[in-house]
Amino acid sequence: MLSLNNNNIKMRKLNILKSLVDFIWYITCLPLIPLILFFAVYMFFDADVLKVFNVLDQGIIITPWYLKVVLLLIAILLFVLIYSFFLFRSTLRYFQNSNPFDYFVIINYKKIGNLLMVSGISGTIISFSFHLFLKGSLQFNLGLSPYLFTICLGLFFMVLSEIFKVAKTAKQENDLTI
Amino acid sequence: MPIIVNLDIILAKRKMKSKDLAAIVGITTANLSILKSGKAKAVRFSTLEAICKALECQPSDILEYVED
Repeated sequence: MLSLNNNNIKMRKLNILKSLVDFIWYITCLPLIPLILFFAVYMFFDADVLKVFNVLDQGIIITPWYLKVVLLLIAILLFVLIYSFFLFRSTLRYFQNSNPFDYFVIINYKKIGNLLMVSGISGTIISFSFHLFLKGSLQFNLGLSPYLFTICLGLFFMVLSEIFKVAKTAKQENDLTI
Repeated sequence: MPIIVNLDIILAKRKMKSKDLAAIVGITTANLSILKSGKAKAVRFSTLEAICKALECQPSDILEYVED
């Protein structure tokens, strides 16, 4: 009876998480994909669109071509983050089916970890070069920056993948204990 | 695996069916089949005790070590 109650609580939490992730996916991620694509193409035809970024209004002389490349790289990084979120969303379905130690989950978590690491490191490099070459300032963010947070999250998913691998082996051994 | 399970031999000697042994011991026939085929990774002492009691034998009659 107690374990049934615990299971219900666990499932309720999982359902809340899945609903939240679905909400973010449909409200934020899905509309963002065509918007980023549109912006990435449109900025090559109309440079005025870059004015949405305040950098052009600060009186800094910027080569528009360079800014376009930076924005294109940021767009790619955003796609990487959206894909990571998509992978995370798909693993939640396995949790709902009470199959958390599937190889799909382990591989996906490793993939998410790698993608987040790449995204975090690339973001740091882009941000650092942007400030160095365009603003002429050497800037380090030693606090909790989004890039640092992304790298930590990536490492966490990698560790989680390893833990799930160990847990899968333990579960298999437990299943074969008579 | 160097540990051989001789459950089949003991069952034949006792003229007992796997299904009956599974019912006495309280495990499923699928699990007994895993044990007989040598696919099992471990055996609980409680299971071993129940099998020995049902077949009136010693653990050494069921389990055997053979070097690879």
